[in-house]
Amino acid sequence: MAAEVIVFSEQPGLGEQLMSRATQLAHTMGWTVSAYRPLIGEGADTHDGSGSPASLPVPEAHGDLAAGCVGGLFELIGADTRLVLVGATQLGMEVGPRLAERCGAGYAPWALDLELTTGEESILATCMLFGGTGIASYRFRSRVTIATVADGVFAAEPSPGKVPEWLPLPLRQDVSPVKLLRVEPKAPRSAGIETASLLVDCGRGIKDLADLDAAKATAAALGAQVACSRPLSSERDWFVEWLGLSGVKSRPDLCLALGVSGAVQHMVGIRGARLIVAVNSDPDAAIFSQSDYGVVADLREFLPILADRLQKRGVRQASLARKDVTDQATVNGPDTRTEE
Amino acid sequence: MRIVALAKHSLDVAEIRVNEATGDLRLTNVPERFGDIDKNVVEAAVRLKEAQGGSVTVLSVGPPKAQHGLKSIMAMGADDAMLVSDPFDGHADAAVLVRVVEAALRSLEPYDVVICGFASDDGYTWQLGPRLADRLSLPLIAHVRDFRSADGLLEIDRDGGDATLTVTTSLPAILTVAEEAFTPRAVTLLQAMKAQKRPISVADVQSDLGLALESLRELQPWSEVSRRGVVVPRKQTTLKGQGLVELADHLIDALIDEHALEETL
Repeated sequence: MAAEVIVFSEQPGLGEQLMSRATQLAHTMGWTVSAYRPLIGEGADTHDGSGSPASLPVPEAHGDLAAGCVGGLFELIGADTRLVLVGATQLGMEVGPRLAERCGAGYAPWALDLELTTGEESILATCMLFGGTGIASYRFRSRVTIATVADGVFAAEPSPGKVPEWLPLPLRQDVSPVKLLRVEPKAPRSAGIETASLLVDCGRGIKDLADLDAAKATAAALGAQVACSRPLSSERDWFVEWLGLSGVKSRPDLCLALGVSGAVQHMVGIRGARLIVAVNSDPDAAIFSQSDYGVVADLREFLPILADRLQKRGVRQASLARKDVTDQATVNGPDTRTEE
Repeated sequence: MRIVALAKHSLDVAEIRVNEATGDLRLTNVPERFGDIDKNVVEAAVRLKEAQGGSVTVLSVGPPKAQHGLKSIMAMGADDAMLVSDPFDGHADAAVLVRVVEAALRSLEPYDVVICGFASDDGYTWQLGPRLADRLSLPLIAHVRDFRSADGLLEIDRDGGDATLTVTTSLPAILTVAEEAFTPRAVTLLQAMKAQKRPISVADVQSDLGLALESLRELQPWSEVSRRGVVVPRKQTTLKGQGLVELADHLIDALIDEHALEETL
C-alpha cells in the first residue's frame, strides 16, 4: 500500500524539515509517510539503511536527474497517496511541476503550510504569492496535491508520529536523451548564514570581484558573515548558497544590503532581519522602501570609506545583538514579524 | 534551426502596493511589461540563431496590449511572433496555461529548441518549462549558462544546484535560462524600426488553437480561499552627509543608536 504522504528532497537538512511537518500532519490523520532521496551510481550500494538522510550521497553526477526523479516518484504514487512534499531546491522546483503534470495533481509552489481535513477538497495550502509580495491560501480539489516547500519554512523538530526511514528513490533515466559529459561539484553548503546575527548581503550591484572584495572587507571590519542574492551563486558561482525565497531565510539583527535591488523573491530571505541597511547607487531602487536606513552611493567609492571608518572608530557589533539567531523556523511564514 | 522563445507580459511586482492596515494587495493600475527574464530568453534565442542559423519566433500568451512590448523585444533579433490572447486575463493556474502554450507550440511545429525563463517575473512559481517538458515529452535542461552544437546535438553548460554540469541533448529540447548568462543586448534605433515591420500573429485559444474554454477551466485544481500582502514596516530613512566620510559616520551613528553596533575605542 502506498503511503498517504510522500516526502522528497535531495538535501538532508531540508529533508528533515519536511519529514518533521509531514509526520505531524500524518499523525493527526492516521496516515503513513514515506520519504525518498535520489540515489544513483555507486551511492546506491553504500546506503547504510540508518535512515539518516545525511548518510546518503548527493546524486549530482546525473545528466537528467529531474526526469529520473519524476519517473521514480510517479511510480510510487498510489491510490492512497494524497500529498507529496517536495523540497524547493532547483531540483525540487523542476520535479514538482513535472510530477503534477504527469499525475494530474494539484500543485502548490512555495508552500508555507498545509492543513488537512477529512472529506472532499481536504487539502488547504498556504503559499507565497507573487514571489513573496503576498500569501494566499488555496483549497485543492485534486486527489493528489504536490507542494514544494523551501528551506527554513518548517522547523526540524521531534514528531509525535512515526518517522520513517529515508529510502533511496529508484530513478527512471532510461527515457532521457540528456547525457552527462562533465560534472563540477560545488563546495559544500556552509552552515551559518541562516543563524548569523550580522550579515552583509551582496546583490547584483556587486558587479565584479573587486566589488566583492570590498564587500568582504566591509564584512570583515564588522565581523559579519557574507551572503548574496541568487544570481551571484546560481549563475556566478561566487557563493555556494543564496538568500531568498528559493534559498536561505535569515533573520539577523542587522543586514547590510549592498547593491541589492529589492526584488521581493530576494527580500524574502532577509525581511526577517531586525534592521536592514541598503547601499545602492540607484536612488529609485526598490530596496530603499524596504530598508530602515538607506545610503545612495557608488559601492566602489563608499565601501572602502565605510570599512575605514568602522576600523578607525573601533566599531563592532553591539554585545547584546551578538547572539546568533537559532530559531530559524517559519521565517517569513504566516507567523513572522509581518504580524507585529 | 527553428527556435521558439517564450515571453510573458508580466506585472511589475515592485509596483504592487499592500495596504498596511488591511493587508489588501492592490493589483489595479500595476504596470505590465515583458520582464527582465523574458529579455534574457530572447537574447539566448538570438544567440543560438546567430550560432546555428535559422529563425526565432517569440511566443506569448497575454493581452492585446502586449503587442507593443513584443515589437520591442523582437528588435533584439527575433523574426516573428505569436501572441495568444489570454482568455483568463492572467488568472489561470499554470496547469491551465501550459495547455495553451502546448497547443500554440504544436501549431508552430516543427521547432528545434524552446527557450523560456526559469520563472516568470511576476508569478515566480518556476512551472512552465517543467510542465511543458512533461506535456510535450521533451527533454528539459534548466538553468542554462551556455550552449554550442556538437555532432547534431546541443551541448549545454547548466547550473545543477549542487554542481555545474555539461550535458548533451538531442533536439527538440526545452531550455530555461535565468538572469545573468544571457544579458540582453542593446537595441539600436534601426533595429527597433525594422522590428515594427515584423509580423505578429494574434491567435485565439478556441478558434485558432482548437481548445475549449470550459475544459480548460475544469483543469484549475484549486479555489483561492484568501490572500493578503506581506508588509514589514521599515523606517525608510535616507542618510545624508557632506561627502562619503560623513555619510559613513552617519550610518555608523545610526546603527549605534539602534544598538546594532557599539564603539570600543
